[in-house]
Amino acid sequence: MSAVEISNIRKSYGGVVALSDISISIPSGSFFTLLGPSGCGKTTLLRTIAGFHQQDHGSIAVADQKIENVPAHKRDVGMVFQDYAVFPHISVSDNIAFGLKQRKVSRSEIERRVSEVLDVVQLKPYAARMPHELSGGQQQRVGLARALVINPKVLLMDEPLSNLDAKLRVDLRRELRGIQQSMNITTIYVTHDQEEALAMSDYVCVMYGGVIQQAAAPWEVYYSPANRFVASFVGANNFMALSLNGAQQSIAGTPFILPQASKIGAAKGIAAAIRPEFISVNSATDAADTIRLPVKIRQVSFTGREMAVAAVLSSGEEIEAITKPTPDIIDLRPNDDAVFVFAAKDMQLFDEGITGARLS
Amino acid sequence: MSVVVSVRSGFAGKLRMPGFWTVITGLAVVLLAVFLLLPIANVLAISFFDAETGSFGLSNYWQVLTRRFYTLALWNTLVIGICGMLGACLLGIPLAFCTSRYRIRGRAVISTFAVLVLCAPPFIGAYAWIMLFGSNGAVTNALSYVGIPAPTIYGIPGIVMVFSLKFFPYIFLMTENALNTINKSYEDAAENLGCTAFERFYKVTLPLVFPAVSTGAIICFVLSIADFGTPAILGRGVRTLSTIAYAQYTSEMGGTPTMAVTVSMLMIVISMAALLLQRRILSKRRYASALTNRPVKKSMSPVKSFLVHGFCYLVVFIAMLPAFTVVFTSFLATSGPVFSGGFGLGSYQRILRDSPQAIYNSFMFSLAAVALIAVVSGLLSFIVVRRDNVVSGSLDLLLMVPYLIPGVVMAIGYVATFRNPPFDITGTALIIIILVFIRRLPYGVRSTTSILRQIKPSIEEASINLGASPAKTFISVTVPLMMPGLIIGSLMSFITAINELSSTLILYTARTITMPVLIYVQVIDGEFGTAAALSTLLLLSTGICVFIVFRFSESKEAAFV
Repeated sequence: MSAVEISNIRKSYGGVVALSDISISIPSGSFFTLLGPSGCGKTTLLRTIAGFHQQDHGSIAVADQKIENVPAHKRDVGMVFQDYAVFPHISVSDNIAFGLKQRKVSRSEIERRVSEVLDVVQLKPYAARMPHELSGGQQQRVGLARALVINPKVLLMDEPLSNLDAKLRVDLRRELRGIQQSMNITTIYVTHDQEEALAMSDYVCVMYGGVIQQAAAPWEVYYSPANRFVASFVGANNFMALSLNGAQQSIAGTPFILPQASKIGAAKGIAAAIRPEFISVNSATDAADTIRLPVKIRQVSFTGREMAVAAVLSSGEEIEAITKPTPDIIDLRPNDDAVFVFAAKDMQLFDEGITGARLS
Repeated sequence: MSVVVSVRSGFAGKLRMPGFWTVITGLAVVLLAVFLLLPIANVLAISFFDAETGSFGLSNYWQVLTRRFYTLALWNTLVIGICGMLGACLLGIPLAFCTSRYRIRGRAVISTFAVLVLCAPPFIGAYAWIMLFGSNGAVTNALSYVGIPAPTIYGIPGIVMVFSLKFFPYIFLMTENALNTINKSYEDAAENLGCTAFERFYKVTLPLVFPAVSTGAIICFVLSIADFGTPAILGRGVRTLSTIAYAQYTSEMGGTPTMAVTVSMLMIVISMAALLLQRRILSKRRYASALTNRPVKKSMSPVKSFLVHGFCYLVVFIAMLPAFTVVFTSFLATSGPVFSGGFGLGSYQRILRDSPQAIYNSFMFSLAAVALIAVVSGLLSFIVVRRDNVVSGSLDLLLMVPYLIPGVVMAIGYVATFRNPPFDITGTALIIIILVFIRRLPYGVRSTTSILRQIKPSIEEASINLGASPAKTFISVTVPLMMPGLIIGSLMSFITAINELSSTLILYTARTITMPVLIYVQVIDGEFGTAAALSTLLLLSTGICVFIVFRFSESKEAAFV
């Protein structure tokens, strides 16, 4: 168990900034996820911690030991790779014993620890197999066991599940989290899959353009996004242009008064965001702070658990609602008129730009 | 499982020692600078000092480009290079088309023969043809017995024929590989749009395989103009740049080989110009396609089948004829240099008695060079593939150089560079080993580089992450995974190393004579029996290597081009 302290890490390639002044404190024993689109710098940060990239500036401390100038092979951080990286020329148990042999651990101790960790990842019967005889999921378990067995101070995982098929990914996700919790090992996990990040993590750190946009607990990132990028990248969201007219606001010509808009003054290019699951279609409620937007239906799709209703506002902006399937919604046809209804308090306001700050 | 936090300290703040790979990269730079660039630079420098007056300038080049003696040789070289290349295309392209589009019986035999032709010692062809069609050749004598004058093998037509038959496998193997990886949907689409079979081939298939054909053709051209043995043996007064370079060099022994070097520079310029031209043409033609619809091999009507099979087997049989002739000749009974009729092992007894040194030298030099190549190419390919810096980028380019520089030029450069004490290594085995090593290094590096590109870098990162140092990672993870490529690369370089003639011919002494040199000397002296026995020995070692490469390599023939 070791806390990780990353301070002012900077890294650029040529003139391109990959990481700009990254500082994070990762509490000991937590599952910390770096989430972002490809090219956001999450993998670069992980590999810098592992020592595969040299930072231009800044420091990394694990359990109060500075490691930013320690060569990669002396850092004692375990790593699990996206493509498993299981050594193809040696058996499963030799793969797992590799790190222990480097550490000159006695043979009996190696045997004991390898067999212990094989139990943890449920690969006991496969100890003598060669890697090519294993499935992708099994190979990734070998990768995990190999990283765990050296008792690393920190476990780094670089999209470990992205090469697996959907069903296996969900199973292994649970298993990974279970092992991490039972061993209480500080874990830094990289993914571009926001559902995976929300489901597994103690903390989700959303990155974009080499900058941390928000680092917080999963529900906070989801319900209280720090800026427009986080609001759009984590979960689905509808963004609509908000017009200001004195104390009154409007979206696509529908006027209303937002309590949260009083602070924003006369800023331009403000976007209002409402998550699809907060919208109900044609509902009759007429509570005080309810907003009712007239729309034209574009497409209604049934996904089993729910209905996705895509529509356009009179301004031409697209908006989607996700609701429980009911007969009258299933019967909606393209170009039907409908009303999207939601509570004003559920709407969030953002400044213009991809990473525009939250105003409400 | 409990988590133990081991405490390590003392790294922060200290200067980092240069890493393993930094040291290796430095050594590689020094190695190539001293043994590749320095000799070439020396040769280049020599060419700018006037042969007679010693003044600096372009006078030597002026001579080479104006004096009829040289311009004629330049003309001959270009004619031979271009005709040899076209001849190889005429044989190689139809053969590739037949084997890739029709169901051919014994296709393996055809491609094995093609590879053997490719790997056989280059000068064997020339003198085997002399034994068949020369002034006193078997076929010539047989034909004149029945009163038909045999076509002459000497001069430019003979040289072009030998080159066409010798180098067509490059075109054949590359084109065949390209034809086999064309998505058949293109041809189907052409047919669907109304093309006849010939139009389809001419308008769609041929343009698509053009990059492969042109790459093969450029190899044929470069090899044709650099080849020394064939024009030397078959020339009979027809001089090419390579034979002039050698003749000038030997006649200027002791002095500065100025004109030899200037002529050689011209050869390099021609090769480079050809290569650049081809690159330029190719840069606009890059066709990548998914191989979703594999080409199918068609069956043929009996008549067509007979003709196609006949053509395929005839081409490879004629190309293999020199090898057959050599092996056959080696078993003829001789008395002295004269064939006495009947069969016997006399030639073999004589080479074992008279020239065990050459046999021993050939194997020792080649093995030593290959051992060096294996080690260095493993390390170099890691730098080229895995390290991302200025050096690794230029190494890749630098390793093309030995392909372009004729052996004669490298050898002259070596003599010019390494003849001053305390680094005087001329006349030693070492200079031959190092030269062969440098000249054949690209074969090794190409093979190890291509396999290393298939090994994911994350495997090495995993090893480092688990605590193995970069050096330890290379030895215990990278090398085992590279092994098939290392073995193929070593065998390929062994084949080319043991058949090396043009450079050793300049560097050898009585103590360091090798089999190819001895064969050349004996052919010039008319000692065909022992030359045949030595050639058979070379063919045999080459054949064994080819066989092993076939066993180890997945893509078989493709490993050879």
